[in-house]
Amino acid sequence: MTDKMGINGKKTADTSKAWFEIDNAANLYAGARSRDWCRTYRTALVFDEEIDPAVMQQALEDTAKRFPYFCAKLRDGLFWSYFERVDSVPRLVPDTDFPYRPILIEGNDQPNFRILYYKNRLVIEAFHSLSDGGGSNVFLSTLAGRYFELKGEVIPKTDRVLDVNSAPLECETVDDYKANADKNAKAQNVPKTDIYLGENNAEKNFVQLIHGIMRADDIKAVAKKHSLTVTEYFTVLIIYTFIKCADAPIEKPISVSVPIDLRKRFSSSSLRNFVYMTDVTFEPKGKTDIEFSQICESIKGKLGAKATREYLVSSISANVAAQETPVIRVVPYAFKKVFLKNSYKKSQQAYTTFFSNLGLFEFPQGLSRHIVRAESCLAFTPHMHFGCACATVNGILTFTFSSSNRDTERQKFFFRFLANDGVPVRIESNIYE
Amino acid sequence: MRCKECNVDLAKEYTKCPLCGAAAVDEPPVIEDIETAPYPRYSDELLTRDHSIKSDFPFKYILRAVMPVCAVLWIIYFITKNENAVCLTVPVLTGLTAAVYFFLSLKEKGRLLHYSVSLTACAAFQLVMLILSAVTGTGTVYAAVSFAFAAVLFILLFALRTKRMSAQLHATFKF
Repeated sequence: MTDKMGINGKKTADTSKAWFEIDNAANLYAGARSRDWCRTYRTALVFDEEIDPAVMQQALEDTAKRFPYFCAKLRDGLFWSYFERVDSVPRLVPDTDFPYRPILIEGNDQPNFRILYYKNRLVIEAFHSLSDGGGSNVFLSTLAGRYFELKGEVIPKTDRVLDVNSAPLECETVDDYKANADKNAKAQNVPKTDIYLGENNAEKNFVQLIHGIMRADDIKAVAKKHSLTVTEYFTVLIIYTFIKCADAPIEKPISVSVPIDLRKRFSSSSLRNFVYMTDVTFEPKGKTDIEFSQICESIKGKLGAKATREYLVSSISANVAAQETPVIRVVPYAFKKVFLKNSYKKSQQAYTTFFSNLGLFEFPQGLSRHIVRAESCLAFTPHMHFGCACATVNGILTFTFSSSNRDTERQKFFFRFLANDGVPVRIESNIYE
Repeated sequence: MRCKECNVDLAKEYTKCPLCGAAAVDEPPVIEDIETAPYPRYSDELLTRDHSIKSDFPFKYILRAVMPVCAVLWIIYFITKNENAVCLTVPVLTGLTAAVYFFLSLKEKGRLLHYSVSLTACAAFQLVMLILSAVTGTGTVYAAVSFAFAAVLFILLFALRTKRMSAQLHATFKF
């Protein structure tokens, strides 16, 4: 590492390296991938005007230089996989295909993400090993900021909209799982594995996104009415939806995986993966007459209990310790990969579905007035074909369901419940007439 | 536009509700001033497209095919005592595999490390063969030794030409 200082006296990253190590969570995603699948997520910003592709391409070229560790491709090493820098400029591509088209890792010289556009929507689809939603949002926000800067706006720089002319900082490239792991932390219990997995009728290549657009104040008020946070309210409603839309009474527990962004809790500026996947579980025990309020009472405070610093340190320490074991370190990656693939498969079968709340996107003046809303979407795993996520911009929350079949029963139940609970909702979808 | 069945607003371009399929009703939305972010119309061809890469075929399957074949040859040897199965065929097969990997790695330099991992696996397999040869006294010993040597030599040569290997060793052993 160089000793050069960047903004606010922070150390700048060593950009001369042609490759870099991947972080603790990225190892799992890297090992779990197959030839035609890798864990992907999608985040979109909706502008108040149609995107000019020529200006956006220029903005992308400028932004890519500021994020050298993001413009990278995965390579398999002898002991671990690693990221290799890609110096070629990422291409802006029209978003005319179904979402989550696989990001090909093997035999592909492009970075492991893509930037798409269609009319007034700017999209990033990225391989999860590169970064999590929080990290890639900084990339996307900086790209949007640069775009409007090139169009003549004055965009103040923040910790989410970076200056493309500044040097990358070392703290942005740190693996904060390792940095915050504690060898003496006690291991936590692993989630139950015999979980209700729902129906799994995936249609090849087909992806349906259904966005429910609502006012953030409305949903906050309704969540407060039930004495829940917004994330808890949505999690309860997802569980309730699964119970009410199941073909037969559900005997097994329903478990919703909810990622916790660790950056604020650990004062981290890392733009690599730094989330912890926790879960909320409810056991219907075959009952179909369960009330919404019963689930509320059952899960109230559970998410908060799993978001304490002590709990999180012990959980991430266990994951880091597993990869730091000397015996595991010396095993060739070709063999580790088999183990990682199996571990990932088992971990995914511990959840009925995913729900990610990316929270509030805050943009500086000048950019904020051009951003209508943000959309966060979770792609599927080979074992799970239904996920949901939400994001909030300028008082507008967009809740998105992703599914790989045409059945909309759950989405219909979910949004009808919201509307009847006092939250006006506007529906948009990529499959429409 | 609105859907009366679902009690939700719809984008003004919609004729049907994406949730229930009911006809959209021309009524003012409850949430005002929200712009539609349209999606393209997808062609049916997109549903049948294969996204995987075909050119990768040999890399994935050569090693997986050769090792079970060698194992079967050993079983044949134990049953029939025909030394040719082991002394001749196994070294030829593994030697050819090594040669294929070597030439593939020359063609695709970006994959050198990847191929060297497979060669290491080949060498590890040959080590087992070597021990088996020593125990049973067959003539595979020399072929196995020479192959293992060639594989290790390849990795060493690779380590010399790039710093990535030494950096990975450094990261693994912390020396």
